[in-house]
Amino acid sequence: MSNNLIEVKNLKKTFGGLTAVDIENLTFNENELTSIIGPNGAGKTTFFDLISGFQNSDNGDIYLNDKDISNFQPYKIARMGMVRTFQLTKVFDRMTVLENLLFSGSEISNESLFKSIIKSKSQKNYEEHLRDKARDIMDELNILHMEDSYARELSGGQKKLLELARSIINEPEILLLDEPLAGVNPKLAEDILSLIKKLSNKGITILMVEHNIEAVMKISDRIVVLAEGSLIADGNPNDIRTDTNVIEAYLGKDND
Amino acid sequence: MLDQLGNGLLLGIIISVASVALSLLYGVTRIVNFAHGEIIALGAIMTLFFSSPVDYRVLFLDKYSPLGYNFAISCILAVIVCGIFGALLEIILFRPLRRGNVGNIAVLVVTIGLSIFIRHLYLLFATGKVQDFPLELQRRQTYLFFDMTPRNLNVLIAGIVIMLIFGLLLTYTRLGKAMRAVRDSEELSSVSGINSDNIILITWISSSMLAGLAGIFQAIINDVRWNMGFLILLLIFAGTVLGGIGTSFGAMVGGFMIGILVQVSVGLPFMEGHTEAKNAVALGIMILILLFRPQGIFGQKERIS
Repeated sequence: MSNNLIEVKNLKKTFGGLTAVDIENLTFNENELTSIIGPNGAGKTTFFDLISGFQNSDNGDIYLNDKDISNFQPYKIARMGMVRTFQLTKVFDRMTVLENLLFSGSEISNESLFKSIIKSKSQKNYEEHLRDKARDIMDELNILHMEDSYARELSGGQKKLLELARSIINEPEILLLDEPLAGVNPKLAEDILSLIKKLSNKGITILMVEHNIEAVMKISDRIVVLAEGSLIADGNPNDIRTDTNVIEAYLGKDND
Repeated sequence: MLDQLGNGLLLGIIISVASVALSLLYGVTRIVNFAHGEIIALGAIMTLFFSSPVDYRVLFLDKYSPLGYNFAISCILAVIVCGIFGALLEIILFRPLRRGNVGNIAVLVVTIGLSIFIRHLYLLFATGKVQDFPLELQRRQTYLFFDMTPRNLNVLIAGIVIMLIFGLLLTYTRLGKAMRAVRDSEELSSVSGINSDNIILITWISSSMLAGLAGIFQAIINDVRWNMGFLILLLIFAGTVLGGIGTSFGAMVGGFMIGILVQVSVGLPFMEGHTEAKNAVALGIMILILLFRPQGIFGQKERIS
């Protein structure tokens, strides 16, 4: 099962009587840009929470690179190379933009108590390298001029960019983007979209939850549609556009 | 007024160390810990238990003998006990509450209950009697423009050094950065590969150890009582708020300011014969400062969006 990067089997999550997610079988392939769409309450974000460890499933298995990661803690999953963003943008408010990136980018082993106090040459080189990398990313995302501003001082759109920058500095294998375009002006949305496409071309596997259907149609390799927690369609953008199940889910049945 | 400066500095160091501990815990976990005073008292009570001579039977219902250890070793052991106590609180109580998504106000009420519960356990087991550490009496001496005993001067210096080292560790180590990261967002820290449960556990341990140290200071300077932590708890809150909630450096300075204001106000002309009312002046000034600087002296304004 070479290029099944993520595999989900019989995944189920309920809140009280409400079934938030109930997916029998779903796999995501290496280097694919997959969008997950569906009406409000379809279970998209819950699905993200489940595979990134932020919520425990009621039952079912989740595999990352053939390794069972069901009910792993989020930090372990992040260390395995699956990094996510959040619907409500999160940044480290009280760190500067640069510090945000340096913190997320540094490897745990390179910042032990000992190494932070007595800086060896290799440690200095490492930090220098990381700083350069952070600057390159900020430059690419047009936030380099903000590097010394505190993250809390950024506008909503700039925070989105910082969140993206933060999530790619560690060169993750998989990126989960939860509504990357929400609340962003059209021009910036355009920029973010082309960035996502670029990341995908670089070989990062991307899963994206997004409500902006036009954008989704434009850049996705594959679209997965959820409604009321279940998978109702799965295919390339053209198939999805004409899928009757999808149209029903969004617009309701014709003869109601 | 100036003759009270020495006393002010001593009260200041107690409140300062305790405020840094409280502020650290609040900063990372958002818990307003009313049981903080009881951890302070635990430091003093355990030191008394470890260090008092074995034939001394006031503590612990006359049933158990103190251990009679060397005083310095007793202090270290007591601080370690406080650290373990903090770890247990987190693991047994606060982690499950966090997992259950219990709200901040409910957690605050839990800490109030915990405070009352533990404090009265002390009253039961450690008795309500005011006790002193087994240290010989010392005469006050004059240093610069304030006077205090040599031992208290050492306490003052030790407290400042420990807080500075602590502040440097928080600022420059991975652990400190991780604590600040968890403070900003627990979820985001997880995404960056930080085990936030571990960081919060370490925060509880270090906050409790610092609190225990503040208790030992308080007992060296004054005495050991079952409710000693509770007596200064509100001054600690005041110091934390005055410095700017969640900033260690602010708590350090704010704690000193409150301590000095409280003691120096005793010397004000209209306070003659009313020394028990000394907290009024200090806290009045705190309220005034907060009117003009709501975020505290060293707090930063947050962008509202």
